[in-house]
Amino acid sequence: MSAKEVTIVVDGREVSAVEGEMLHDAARKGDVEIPVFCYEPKLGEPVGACRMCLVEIEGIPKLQTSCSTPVRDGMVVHTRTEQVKHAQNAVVEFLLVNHPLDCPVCDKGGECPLQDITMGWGPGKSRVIDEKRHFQKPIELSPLVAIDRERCILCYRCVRFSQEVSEDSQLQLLDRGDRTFVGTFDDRPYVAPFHGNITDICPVGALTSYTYRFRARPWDIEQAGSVCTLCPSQCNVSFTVRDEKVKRVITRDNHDVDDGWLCDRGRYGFEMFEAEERIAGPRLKGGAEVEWDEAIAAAAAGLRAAGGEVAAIVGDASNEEGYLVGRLLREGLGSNDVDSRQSRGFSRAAVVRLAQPDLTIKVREIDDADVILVAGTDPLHSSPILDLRVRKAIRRNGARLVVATERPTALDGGAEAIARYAPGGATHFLSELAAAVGGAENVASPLAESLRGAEKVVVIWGERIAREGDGAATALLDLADACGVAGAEGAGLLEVPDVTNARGLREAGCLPDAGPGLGAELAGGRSTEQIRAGLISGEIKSLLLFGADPLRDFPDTPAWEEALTAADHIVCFSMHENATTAKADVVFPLETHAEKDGTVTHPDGRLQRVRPSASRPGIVQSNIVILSLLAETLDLSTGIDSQPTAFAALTEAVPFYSSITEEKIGGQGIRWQETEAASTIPTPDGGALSSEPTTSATGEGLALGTYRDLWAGPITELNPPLQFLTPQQRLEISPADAARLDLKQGDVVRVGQNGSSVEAHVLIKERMSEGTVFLAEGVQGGNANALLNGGPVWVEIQKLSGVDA
Amino acid sequence: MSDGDGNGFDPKSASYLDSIEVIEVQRGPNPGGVGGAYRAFGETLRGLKTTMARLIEGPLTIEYPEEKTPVYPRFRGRHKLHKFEDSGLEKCVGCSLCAAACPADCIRVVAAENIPGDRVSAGERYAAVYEINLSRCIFCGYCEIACPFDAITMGHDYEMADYDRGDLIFTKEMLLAEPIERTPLKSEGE
Amino acid sequence: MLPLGEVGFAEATWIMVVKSLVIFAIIFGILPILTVVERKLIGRFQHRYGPNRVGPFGILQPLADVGKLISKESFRPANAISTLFVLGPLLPVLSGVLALAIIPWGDVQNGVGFYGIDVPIGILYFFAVGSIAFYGLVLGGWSSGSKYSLLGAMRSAAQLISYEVSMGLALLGVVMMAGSLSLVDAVHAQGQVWYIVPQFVGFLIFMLAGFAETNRTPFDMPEADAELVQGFMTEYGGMRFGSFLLVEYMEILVVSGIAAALFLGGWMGPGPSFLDPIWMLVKMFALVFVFIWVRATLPRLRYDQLMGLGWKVLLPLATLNVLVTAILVVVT
Repeated sequence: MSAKEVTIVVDGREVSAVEGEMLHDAARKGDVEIPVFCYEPKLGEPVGACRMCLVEIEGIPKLQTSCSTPVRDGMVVHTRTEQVKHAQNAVVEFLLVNHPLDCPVCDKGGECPLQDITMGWGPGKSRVIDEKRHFQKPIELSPLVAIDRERCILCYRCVRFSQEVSEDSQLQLLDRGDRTFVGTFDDRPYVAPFHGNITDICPVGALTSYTYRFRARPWDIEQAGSVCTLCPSQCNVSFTVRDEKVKRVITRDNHDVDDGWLCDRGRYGFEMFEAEERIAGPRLKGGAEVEWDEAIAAAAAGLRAAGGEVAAIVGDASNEEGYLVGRLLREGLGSNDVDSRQSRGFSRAAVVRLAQPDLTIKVREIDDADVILVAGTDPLHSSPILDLRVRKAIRRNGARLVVATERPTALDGGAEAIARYAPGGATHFLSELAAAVGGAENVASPLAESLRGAEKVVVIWGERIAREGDGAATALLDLADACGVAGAEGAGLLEVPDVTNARGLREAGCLPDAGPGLGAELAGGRSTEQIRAGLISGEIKSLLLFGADPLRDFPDTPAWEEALTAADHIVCFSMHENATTAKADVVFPLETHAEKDGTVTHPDGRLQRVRPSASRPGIVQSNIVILSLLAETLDLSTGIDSQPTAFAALTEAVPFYSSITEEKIGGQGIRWQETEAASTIPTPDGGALSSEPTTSATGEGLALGTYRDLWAGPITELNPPLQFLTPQQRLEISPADAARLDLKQGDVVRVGQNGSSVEAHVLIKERMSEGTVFLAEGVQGGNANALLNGGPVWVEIQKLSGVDA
Repeated sequence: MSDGDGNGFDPKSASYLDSIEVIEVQRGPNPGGVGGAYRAFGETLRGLKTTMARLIEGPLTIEYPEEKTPVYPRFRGRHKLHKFEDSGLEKCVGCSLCAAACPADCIRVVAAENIPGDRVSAGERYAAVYEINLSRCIFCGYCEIACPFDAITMGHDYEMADYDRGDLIFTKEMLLAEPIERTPLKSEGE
Repeated sequence: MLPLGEVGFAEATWIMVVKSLVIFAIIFGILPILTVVERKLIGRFQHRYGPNRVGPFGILQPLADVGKLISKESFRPANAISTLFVLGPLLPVLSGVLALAIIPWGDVQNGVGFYGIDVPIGILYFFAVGSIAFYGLVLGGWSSGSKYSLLGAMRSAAQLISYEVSMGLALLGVVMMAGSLSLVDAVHAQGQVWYIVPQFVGFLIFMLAGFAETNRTPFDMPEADAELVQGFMTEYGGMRFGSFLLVEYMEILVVSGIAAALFLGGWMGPGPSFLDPIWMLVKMFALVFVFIWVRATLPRLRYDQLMGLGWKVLLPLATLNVLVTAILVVVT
């Protein structure tokens, strides 16, 4: 940082601060606390609305708001003079004129900034004897958040969040004077993917979550810091635990990861920990609950009986668990058939190239990017908190955004240039773009215009493009080359993977062609798609699924159905009952991220620690322990019996993790690229990657693209508070195509292809490109995965019933 | 420890002995010898007299289960939860302040939201679970002081012994029920 | 004839058997009452009631106690010497019962002597038989295999030696004045004046030594609960423990009986002669009351004080008493 250091004096103490910093923040460095209500740096520019932070500055006759006064060298500030005290007393007294004193009833009581500030800086008594203002007591602001407008002190924080951070612009201050209240237009429910944050930032008890309403008091609870593993963002969270059960999830600021925000998925997705579908102990086929030793013996017997013809697919797992599964397969069962991807993926060579430290960007560097290219992913659905990060870069730092996706994204509104390519056409488009940046004139030229010449280029790309094969990696690397990403400060690539810990699992050895640490090329390993084929053909007899649910999440459901039926023996680790566990011979319970102890790796290489916070249900045990017991039963001595031993083994096996310790991970995590062992990552070997795009065939009908909806899956089905968000299958179609097929908004259609079909409601979208339609994956009725049997897909649409038939 | 520096004090030096004030210890007569035996005999007789006097005075026992010591009005006995006399609603709103104040950590409150048609308490929330573990309670009365609605007070009942620890966890229903008045109250001036 | 030397008066054997049974029955009827009386008295001395829950006024308390003791396991420690351990509590019971035989409850009436037996060496018999009890304590304490028991037993032995001497000397005055070792004769000799008057010092010494003999406060050193956890009784439980307790009360009765006979004029008192045993009982109970009273009053002596008192005070005093008595007897 090149900012100038200045020295100011606060209450007689010399404090050194950075020029331009706000006085409130500078004073805090000198351990001087200035009370604030409206000031919250996360929300952007200060507004100076609450007047709580008034201080006396020598040379300025009137009191100044310390939250919005930048420091200057030699400034002398007093925060405890009579004048300041008088002002603070007055502000608190004014706030309490209309604030009801129902603290015993109020949920914020005990953790309420207004309470704290009143006790610390308030006058102690009120002179007001008039009636306070009255509103109807809590009303529904959204199905998840209640608003008690009597308690609101009009600090604007929630409105600013809605306007400037999540940019949904739904919250407004309505009415005037003492009738002012926070609300939405026409009293519509405030439904937005990040709206739970307003309950965190509200300094009084005006905004409270229904899920936590009256559940506990601050002295009844413990806060347990952990990491949310519901999406690849891996936001830092703090579980509010009462009686060993999670009652609430709140943010735990980590500017390198989540910027202090949390999406509603992570915030409200905790009731599924105790859902009825939760598996609370090992089971055998048919649902018979058994003791651990019996289940482990059954699993080991089945795996051994396959005689090396075994495969494993890892999904929702920590690094340690992934590492253990890899060892179990390779060393214990003599099979290389391990994968952690849902479909086709990059080869080891491509993975190694993309994992190079100089290509990967730190999440925080997005803030300062010049140009952000979002390619082949919609962060809102795949890694929600990145969406806020990109918005912040655009709004506050003037970054330019370029979007190149198959489906319209939530970020389109702020983009300078947008390109839509056909489903499955990412490789082609990205190589065109690389060429265009290099000067060529082609379809991607409008985008190249923005990228060309920019210094800090950040490319956020979705792992989904890897389904097109190594060609996509080649295109991506060419593009990075063209933009001069490698080695440039503040420029780089950031992956948005399909599963939470995709990067960690790849690096821990859950790849068919590379062991832990992406070491030497391994031969003979089957990838996910090949495993499926092997199961169907009978070459693989036994399957180990760890946190993976192929029947919901993986493309081509009919083929998986066939594969799982053909398998002799399936061992499945799963959190909840689902279609896959119904087919498994042995089901082991999986720990939730509130119960698990382990590390995960962020797509930018940051290792973070998931810490156990709540008690496990039933007889659920640590998965690490179960895996090592399973290994032992298979005569593989791992020397691992707990998370610390597993982590030690992992860091030993992965060279570039070797200088990471749990102390270094601490509460904020550490990027392995920033440790001294980063140079031990394998360097790309000379051979060129195959660059032919898999897409070549053309078909008849409309090209089908799919996407994973943020709310699709167990998250809404098993969390009662989120159930109202459960997505319906919708066929997204462009107006032109709809008109051609005589479809209207809301019509029910059957989308069919090669014998399988799903039903969906028609949703006409303006920004869709003609000739493509979109369906959501993972939804309960009509999962689009049923239609994806490899390569680009063309579908036929048959109208079943019209809205106004 | 060297005494060569001259600054250390010598407890035997004359100046030291002069400087301290000597107090003669008052001692009784020598306990040994014939005199001692005689005095011991006398003291024994005195002791016998003392105990005999106690015998003649008679017992002072209050025979507890049949007779009870009256308690003072501010005696802190078993807790009571209160209802409003007019509306019959519980005064407790489940704010947990008593649990926060409790030094023995024996109060557990789980709050819930009132349903408009079927109100339990006067406020928005009420105590769905209110338990006091009386085997832990130290009867300090802080809960009573902490309560912002005077919903909990300490009663006069001190007869809470039971055969099962579990039975000493008093639930909301038990605390709300009108307790059997088993304990006499001290009258004015007693 | 019984091999007890020259017996003053002897009845037919069946009468003696009946007498023994009657005395035995009465004493064993009194013993339980004695326990509850002691506890109630101690209570009164301490401003309270004592046991009053079992039966009216708590008089059934002993039944409950015995019931409890009987129903308890007769536990024996692993390193105890089994036969001796069992024998331990039996010997004192034997000694107590034997000593009861010579207590005179009345004169010969209608051809029946109101006593177990009148041996001419009564006092010697009392010492001889009484000392057997200590074998019980020492054996019991030693065979328990516990250091506390052993220490308690050793203290008993030391205490016995210390006080037996003074006790014997204290009675010597009475013997000299009565001119007989027989208790019956001694009672007869108190026709004019009870020996408590001329032999007051002897009476005091005898009572003090009697406290020690019976292991009562202030000389309950051997069982000192605070330091030796009940001394030789530590390892005993159930009825074995109960018999030690029983013996303690029996010994109180015996010592009281001997003292009543030798110093308080025995059975003599106003009224018809059939009241004699009643008078004897009244006097015994008066002395028992003293036992209890002293227990309620005095704290336990330290071990060195105990020894000091025995050897340095009681023994010289008793010797002096004997000397003075001897001179007076010779002079008058």
